Amino acid sequence: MTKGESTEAERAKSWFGLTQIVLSDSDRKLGVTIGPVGTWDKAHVERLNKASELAGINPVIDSDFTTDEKPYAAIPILSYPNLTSVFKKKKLDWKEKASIVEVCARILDGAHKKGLFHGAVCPEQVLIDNKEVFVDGIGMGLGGTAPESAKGFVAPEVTPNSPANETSDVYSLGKLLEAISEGHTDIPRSAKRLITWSTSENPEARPPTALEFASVIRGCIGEHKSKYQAGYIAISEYQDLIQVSAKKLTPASDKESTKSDTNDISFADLKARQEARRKPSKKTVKGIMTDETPAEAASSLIFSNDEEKSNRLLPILVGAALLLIGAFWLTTLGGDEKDDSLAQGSESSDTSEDVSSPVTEDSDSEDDIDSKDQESRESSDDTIELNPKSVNQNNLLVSTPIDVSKAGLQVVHGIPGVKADLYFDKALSVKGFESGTIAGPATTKPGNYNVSLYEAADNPSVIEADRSDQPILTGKVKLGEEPVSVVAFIDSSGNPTIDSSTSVVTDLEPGYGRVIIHNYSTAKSVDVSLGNKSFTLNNGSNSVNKVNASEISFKVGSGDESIAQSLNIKDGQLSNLYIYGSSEDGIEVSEIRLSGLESSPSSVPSGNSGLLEEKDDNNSLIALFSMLLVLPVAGIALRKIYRDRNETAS
Amino acid sequence: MKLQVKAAIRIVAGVLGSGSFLLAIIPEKAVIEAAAEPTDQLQTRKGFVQQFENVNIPESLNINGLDINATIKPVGVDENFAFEVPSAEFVGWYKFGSYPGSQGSTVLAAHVDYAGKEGVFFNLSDLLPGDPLTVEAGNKILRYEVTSVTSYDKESLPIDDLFTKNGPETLQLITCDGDFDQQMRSYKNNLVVTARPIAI
Repeated sequence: MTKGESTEAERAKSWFGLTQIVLSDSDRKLGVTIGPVGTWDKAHVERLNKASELAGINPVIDSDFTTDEKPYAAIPILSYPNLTSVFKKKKLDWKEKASIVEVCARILDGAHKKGLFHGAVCPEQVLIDNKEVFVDGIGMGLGGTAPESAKGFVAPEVTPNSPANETSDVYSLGKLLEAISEGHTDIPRSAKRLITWSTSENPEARPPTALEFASVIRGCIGEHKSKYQAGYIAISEYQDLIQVSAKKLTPASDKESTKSDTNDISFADLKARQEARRKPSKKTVKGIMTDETPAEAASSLIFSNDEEKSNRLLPILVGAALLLIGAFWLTTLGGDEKDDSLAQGSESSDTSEDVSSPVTEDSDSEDDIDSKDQESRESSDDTIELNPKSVNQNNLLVSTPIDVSKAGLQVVHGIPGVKADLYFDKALSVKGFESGTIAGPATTKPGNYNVSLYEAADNPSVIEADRSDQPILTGKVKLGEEPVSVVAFIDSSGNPTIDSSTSVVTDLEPGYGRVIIHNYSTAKSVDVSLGNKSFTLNNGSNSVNKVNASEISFKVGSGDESIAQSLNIKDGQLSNLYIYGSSEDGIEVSEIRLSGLESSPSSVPSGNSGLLEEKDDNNSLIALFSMLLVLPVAGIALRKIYRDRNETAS
Repeated sequence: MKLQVKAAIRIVAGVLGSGSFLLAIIPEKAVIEAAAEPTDQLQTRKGFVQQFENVNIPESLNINGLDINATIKPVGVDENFAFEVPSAEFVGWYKFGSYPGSQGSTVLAAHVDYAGKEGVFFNLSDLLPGDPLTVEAGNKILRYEVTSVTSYDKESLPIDDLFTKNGPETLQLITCDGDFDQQMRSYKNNLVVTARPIAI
């Protein structure tokens, strides 16, 4: 462990438990947070694992319990600048700042849907990498003392005994919006109202969800197009780190070779558990797991009394102190309640199933693997190998509907397992374009464009003409007035091919949406069900479906594999679902959702009895009556004035 | 030619701006071949679309000045795609449109009269710009003030503007108005009251 890392370890104290750097290379750092025992229970570990590929958070590479039952989570430590330093460096206008807060709200909403909360969102916790936004520490804070920088951002109801929840995060978002608005004079009134609304002392008086907060803030920003989006870090980028470490430490079963680093060893422990979970039977972790070292290492990570390591004791002592605090909570909770909370833990793990999106293949297999956890630890025997399937390809990035007028030309990368460089119009447009990803809109201007994919290079040239290698595929695409999707896929004879399709963007009748399912997989046909409709879809064909604006279930299967997703199709939306891959290696689905195809009702018939005429008649009658009343009075008055005048004249 | 060189410079600048690449030396040939319209790095995304669920479903409309305190029902369209305005005592909210508190128009319609009875919006035309009204939605009370009261010939009702899902938040109250066609049992006009959100 280098000096730089140990400062990192101190950095993340208290609120997030104790973070120790366990692994790093030149540009990657992986930290392990030890959570408070009790509140960070089995259900929470499950939630963390399920959220591992949410956009905008540093992904949880692994979360479980150490051999001595301390909950932990292994998370990349991101070294991107935070909001405070970004704003110091560069003057941004209010709308741009607000759009960052909007992205934060959407990120938090995604986490909330997985049962994870933050508790102390503040400028220091929001990290910006170019135009990508990350909210640090989601799901790590379960009460406790917030870091100094987060003071004033924590909702009043959040205490060690009452952890953060959805509305307390909305409070923090409101405070965040207030903080970024400081010094600006052009803040819309609606934004001021949102700040007051969301920072109300009464949790029930706040916007109930982060999503609602996001939508209101979007309304405040208006037409300003956000440059920011939720960042994304694939856990696969870190899994090799785990693997290297685990391998390195495999022979370290005897204590002599554990000289390397206590933390590393504990990490081997973590890794072993992770592997055991992910690998059903064949692959092994036995070499590591049967050692006593990991358990000792894990405990020494926290309670080390080793004199020789005294130079590293400070962070460890901090950790110990924290654990004492944790233990104190437990004692205040009382022993009986602890048992209750465990029982609740298993219950809430059930409910967390409900909260998460409909069961996908991935979560299925994860469950399977969990159940085989025990045997695999005992029976397996080879070296650890990364299972590429364990990297979830199917999770959500924050991707929102695009207005049809702005949809232009988009590129769907449907060639499985190939990382590519995308050249649009002969210029590098996406470096390291991952399979299953959609790029764009590349442009909205009609015309002929060139699209090429090359195998991803380390330093791809900016201009396509500089590429000396052969493209995987290349093609010309014509963009007219209507949006075009370009799909790169493997055709039925196994060759990479490009296809472009215009979406059917004719306006929809009020109350309807449209779902177009495209089969770009190599499977001859796939079985699709959409709502209560089931059909097979041949390779290369598509199916256009008019649907009621509503939540509708979608499922596609090929062989033993299937993907299910509930689609919330709103009025005037078009969902393009691109199925790619193969039945052997698995099919995947990517979606392009367009909005703005709605039409207004034909008319507003809101009266059928003609009573308004009577009202008008009544009004005129009243007018007439008043005239009749007023006239004689006026006459008398006039006569009186006239007489008075005459009298004074005479 | 000049244009192309400029384009190439812009490409380099764009790439530098993204911070992910080193400056590339661009040979003359490439400059010539470079497209005139360089692209920035494209945004990428993955998987299914996520969209927010607005929970601000309007529940009641309150206009003190007109003694209106009516329950709001979420409604769609009938078989002719006409706004499905509920019976006399209710206000209908167009559930396919915008929600209170979000951008675009939240559209509420109610009958001026229905089956021989006065409807909730019988006196809507008495509203004046500046009059306050409130909508209760999802445990919150949202406040609005009237900005305009307009009677349109039904033929020239700017219906797409009234039902837009984009732009600043407005509240549109719609009912019938004008002369009554006894044969068609319908009014010739629509009355539209537009209101805007105000701070609490």
